[in-house]
Amino acid sequence: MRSKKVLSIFLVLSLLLMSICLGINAEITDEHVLKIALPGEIPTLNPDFSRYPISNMVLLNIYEQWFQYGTRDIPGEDYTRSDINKIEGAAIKTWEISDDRMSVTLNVRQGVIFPNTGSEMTADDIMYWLDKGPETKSGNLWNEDMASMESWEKTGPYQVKIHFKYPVQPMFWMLGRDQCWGVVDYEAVKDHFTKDNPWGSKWLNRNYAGNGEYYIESWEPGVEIVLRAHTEGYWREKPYFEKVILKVVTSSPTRALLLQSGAVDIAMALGQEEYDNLRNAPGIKVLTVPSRTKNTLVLNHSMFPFNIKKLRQAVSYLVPYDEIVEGIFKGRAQRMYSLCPQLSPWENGEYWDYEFNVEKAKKLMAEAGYPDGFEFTVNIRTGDKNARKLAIFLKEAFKQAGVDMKIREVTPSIFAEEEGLGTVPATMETGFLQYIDDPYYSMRGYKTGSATNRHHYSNPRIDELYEKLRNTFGEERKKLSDEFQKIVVDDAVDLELACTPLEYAMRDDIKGFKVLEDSLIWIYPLYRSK
Amino acid sequence: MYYSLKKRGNNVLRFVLINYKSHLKLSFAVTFLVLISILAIIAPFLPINEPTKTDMFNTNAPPSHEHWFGTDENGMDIFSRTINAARYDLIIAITAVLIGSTIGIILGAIAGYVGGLFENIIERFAEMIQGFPYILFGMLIYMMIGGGIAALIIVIMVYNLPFYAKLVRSEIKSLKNIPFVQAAICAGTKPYMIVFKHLIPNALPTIFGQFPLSAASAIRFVAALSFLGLGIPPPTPEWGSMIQLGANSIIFGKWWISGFPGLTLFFVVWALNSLGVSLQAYIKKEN
Amino acid sequence: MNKNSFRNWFRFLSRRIILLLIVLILITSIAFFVTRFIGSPVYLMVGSQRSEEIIEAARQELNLDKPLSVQYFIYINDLLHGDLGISRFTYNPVIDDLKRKLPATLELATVSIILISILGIILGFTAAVKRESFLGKFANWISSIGVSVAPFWLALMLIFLFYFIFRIVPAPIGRIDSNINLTAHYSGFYLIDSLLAGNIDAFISSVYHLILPVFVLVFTTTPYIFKLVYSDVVEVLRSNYIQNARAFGLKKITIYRYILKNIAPSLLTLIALNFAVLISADIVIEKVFSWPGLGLYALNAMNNSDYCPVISIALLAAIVYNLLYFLADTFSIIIDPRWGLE
Repeated sequence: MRSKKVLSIFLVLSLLLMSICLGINAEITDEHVLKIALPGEIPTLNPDFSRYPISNMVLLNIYEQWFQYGTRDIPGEDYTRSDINKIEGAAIKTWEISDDRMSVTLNVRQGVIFPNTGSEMTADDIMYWLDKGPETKSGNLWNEDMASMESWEKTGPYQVKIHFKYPVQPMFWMLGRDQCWGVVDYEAVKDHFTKDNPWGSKWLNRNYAGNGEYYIESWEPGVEIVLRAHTEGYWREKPYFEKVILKVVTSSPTRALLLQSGAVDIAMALGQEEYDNLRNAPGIKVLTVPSRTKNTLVLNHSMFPFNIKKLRQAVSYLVPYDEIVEGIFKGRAQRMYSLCPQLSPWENGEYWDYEFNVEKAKKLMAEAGYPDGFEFTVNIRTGDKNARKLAIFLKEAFKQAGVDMKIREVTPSIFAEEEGLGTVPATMETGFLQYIDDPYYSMRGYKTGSATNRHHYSNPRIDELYEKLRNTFGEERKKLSDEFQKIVVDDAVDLELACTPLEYAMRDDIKGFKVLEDSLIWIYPLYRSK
Repeated sequence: MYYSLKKRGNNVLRFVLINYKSHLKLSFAVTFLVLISILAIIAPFLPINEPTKTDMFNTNAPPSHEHWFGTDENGMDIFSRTINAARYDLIIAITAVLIGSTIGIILGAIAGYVGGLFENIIERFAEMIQGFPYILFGMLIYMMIGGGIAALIIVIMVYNLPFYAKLVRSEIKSLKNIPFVQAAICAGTKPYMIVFKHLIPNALPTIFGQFPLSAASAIRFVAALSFLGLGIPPPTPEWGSMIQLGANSIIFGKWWISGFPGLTLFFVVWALNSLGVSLQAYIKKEN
Repeated sequence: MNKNSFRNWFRFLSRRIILLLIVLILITSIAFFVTRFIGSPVYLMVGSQRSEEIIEAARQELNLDKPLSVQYFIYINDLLHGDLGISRFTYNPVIDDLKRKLPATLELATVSIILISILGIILGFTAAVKRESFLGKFANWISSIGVSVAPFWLALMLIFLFYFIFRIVPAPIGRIDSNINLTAHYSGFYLIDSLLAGNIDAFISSVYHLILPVFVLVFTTTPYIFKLVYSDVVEVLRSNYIQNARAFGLKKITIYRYILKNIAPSLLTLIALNFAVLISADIVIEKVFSWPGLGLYALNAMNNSDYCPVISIALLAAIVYNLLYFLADTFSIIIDPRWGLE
C-alpha cells in the first residue's frame, strides 16, 4: 500500500516536471545585442599590463588606446587584418616626431567625454598613466622600459611630450595600441587615492574609468558584464551593436553548445575538438586565421640535460615536425623555421636545419657522452590540451633514440613559478603569442638575466645585439635580427614545434570581423547581416 | 586464539563453495574482481594495442573493428587503456588502503587499550581529518607533495588512517573486557603482546569486511582527483583522467571516450562494495 | 528543566564550543602552512611580460617577502578583524566572493539533502518493513549501484542521454537560462528569489537547471541514508518493545513514530554529515555542470595558488562540518534524551 502510494506520487511529480521542461521556449535574440561567452571570470578592470587574457579582451573594448593599426582586406576571406605599417590615431589624434627622433609630441583628441564622470579627456589623463608606471612598479613600468621612454612632460592642456633614451622605437607604436595603454580618467581616479594605494590601482581593479567604444552598464562579477555603446561625446560613429553582454561560461564545450543553439553570438577560447565540430555546423562559421601563435618546448639551460648544447641539438632532431603539423593540427598549422613564426616580417628561415632524423640525434648524443639516452621531465599546465597532445606525441618520438621524457601536469601557478625559477628541465608553452613584431621584443627574452628569459639562456653576443638594436634601423636592423636568429637556431635554445592559427567561432551572420595583432576580439566593427 | 582464526578461515571457504549459486550477486562480484585482477596483471602481455601508442590521424574515432572501444583525442586505443588503467588504479588503491589501515589499526589498538589522554588525542585528530572535505584536502596534500603516484598513495593513506583507527578503537574497547584478555593482563603479559597477539587478531575479522569498501572508495577518490587534473601523469592510463578527456566530447555525442572507462570503474567499485557488504554481513552473522 | 539538566546542557555546549575553537585554530594554522607549500602565485600573477622589479613589487604586495612567522601573525590578525583577505585573482575581498558563491552551492545542497532525507527515510522504512517486497529488493539494488557509481561520470552520461539524445534537459551551463534576468537577490536562492519577485520564467528555468545535478547528487547519496534507516529499522523491529506493541495492537502510526524517535540520533548525524559533504566537497559536480558555487571557486583558487580563498574555504568547511554535527547532536538529545549529554 505504502510503496504504491510513494511510487504514484513520484511518477506524478516527475511527469509534472517533465511537462514544465518541455514547455520552455527557445531563446530570443535581439538584433543589435551581441552576446559573447567568456571563458572565465574577468579578474580585473585595470588596464595595467596584460596579466589576464580575458580581462584584456574586455579592456580593449572599453578603454581607448592611444593608436590603432590600419586595416587591410584579405581577398577571399571573411575577415580583415591589421595593417601593421599604418598607424592611426585613436586617443591621440596627431603626433609629431622630433627631427632627432628622440622625442615625440602627442596631441590628445579633444571633445571626448568620459561617460562616468562627464569630464573631458585631457593631457592630465595621459600624464597620470605615464607617472603610474615607475611609481607603482606595475606593468606600465615594463611598457615604458620597452618603449625606451625616459621622461615625459605636459606641454599643453591637450599635449604631452615624451623623451626617449634612444631614437623612437617601433615598440612605442606597437605598445601604444595595446589594450594595456588605455586612457584612464584622472578625474575619476584621483578621488580614490588611498594611503596604501596612492595611485588608485586597487580602485581601478573593480571600477571602470574609461572612454572607449563601449562603457560598462553593469557588472556582476563571475556572471556577466554588460556593455553599452559610447555615443555621446565620442569621435567614432555609432557601432551596430548597441549592447554587448559578456557571459562567463567556464566550460568550453558549454560555450560551444551555447553558440550552436544561438544563445550566444561568439564563443571564445574553444578547444580544437570543438572548433572541428563546429566547422560544419549549420549557422556557425569558424574563422581560421594564420597567426604567430607558437607551440614551443622551452628548454631550461641552467640544468641538466639542456645545459649541454649537443643534447639540445640532438633533441631538435627527434621532433617529427611534419607529422605534428599534419597529424596533431590536421594540416592547419605551419612549420617553424626559426624562433619567429613564418608570418613575422623579419623571420629568416635560412639557418634552420632540423628535421626528424634519429640517426643524427643518436650521433650527437654519443658525442655528448650519452649514447644510450637520457631522461628529463617536462611540465605542462592542467587543462592545456594542445600541450598534452604534443607532449604525449613527443614522448613516443623521443623514445626511439632512448630519450625518456616524463610528463608532469601541474597547476598554472606552479607551472609559472617553476618555469620562472628554473627548477624544471623543460616546459611546454603553447599559445605563447609573440604579439609584437619586432626583434627587439623577442631578444628581450633571450637576454642574460632578463626576467622574461624563461629558458635561462645566456649568450653575451645576444646581449650585445640587444644593446645595438636600440639604435639601429632599416637594413642594419634586419642584419642584426638575422644574426640573432642564426645564433638562436644554431644553439637550439628551444624546440620550436609548430605555429597554430587563431580560430574564432561565431554565428555566421556576424560580419566585419577584424583580426587584431594581439588576437583579441574587437567588437566595434562587427555587424549582423541578414 | 589462532585455532579459532583458522576455523573461521575454513568456514569462509566452505561458505563460498556452498553458497556460490545462491548468492548470485556476490558471486558475480567476486568473479568480476578476479577477472579484472588477472587482466590487470597480464595486461602487458595481451595481444591488444599498446595503451600509449598515439595515432594522430585517427583521433576520437567511434568503436570499430580495429579499436573495440574507440580512440581518444590522441588516437590511443581506449580498450587497452581501460584494461591497463586497472593495474594502476587497483595497485594504488590496494597499497594505500593496506598501508593506511595498518598504521590506523596499530594506532587505534594502542589508543583503545591505553585509553586516557592518548586516546583522546587520537580521537580528536581523527575527527579533524575526517571533518575536512576530502577532495579539497586531497588536492591540497597532493599539490604540497608535488604530485605523482606517491602523492596519491599518501593522500589515500592519510584519509583512511582515522577511519580504521576509530573502528579498531571501538572494537578493542569492547574486546578488552573479555575474560580471556583480563586473564592475560593478570598473568602479567606485556601490553604490546596483548595488543598484537590477542586483541588485534580478534578485531581483524570485523575490519576485513571494511577493506573492500575502503579500496572501492580509494579507487573512486583517485578517479575524482584525476578527473580534476591532478593524479597520474599522462600518458599513463587511468579511469578518472580518461573520463576527463572525454568530458568535453560528450556534448557532441562522443560517448565512448568517457563511457567505457567510467563503466569499468563503476563495475570495479560496485564489485568491491558488494564484496565488502557481504563480508560484513557474514562476519556479523558469525559473531 | 531542573538544575542538573541545565548543568548538563551547559557542560555540553561549552565543551562543544571549545572543541570548535580548537579545531578552527588548528585548521587555520595547518591550512596556512600548507598553502605556503603549494606554489607561489606571484609568477602567474605578473604574467610573462615582467621584470625583476615587478616581481618584487608583487611579492611585497602579498607580504611574501616577510618571514613566515610574521606572515602568520598578519594573517591571524586580519582574521580576527573579520578580514578574510583579498583574492589575488578576482581582486575581490574573499568575503564578497564567498557571499556570492555560497548561495549557489547551498541551494544545490539544500534541495538535494531534503530529497535525499525524504527518499532515504521512506525507502528505508518501506524496505525494512516489507523486506521481501519488490520495492525493498529494488531499493537495495539501486542503493548498491548508487554508492558505486562515480558521480561525475554519471553526470556526464546523463547529460549525454538526456541532453544530447533526448533534449529534455537544458545544457549544463549553470543555474539558469542565459537570457533570463533575475534581478531580485533576497536570499541568493534562485528558487526563492524568483518566486518572491513573481518571475515565473526564472523559477521554471531554475528548477529546470537543478534537475540533473540534484538527480546525480540524490542518486549517489541517498543510499547512505537508506542503508542506515534500513538496518536500524530492521533492528528496532526485532526489539521486544515492538513485538509487544504489535501484539497489543497499537496503531501503526504510533509504532512508526517510536521507530523514528529511536533511529533519529544516528540518522540526524548521518544527514548532517552528508549535508556538510554536499556543501564543501562538491567540486566535481560543480565542474561538470558549470555551477558557480564554492567548489568551482575552491578549484580555481587552488589552481592559481591563491592563498586567501583556499584558507577561507578550509575554514568555512570546518565551521560547516562542526556546526552541522553540533546541530545534529543537539536535536538528537532533544528528541531522545537517552542519547545522553556526555
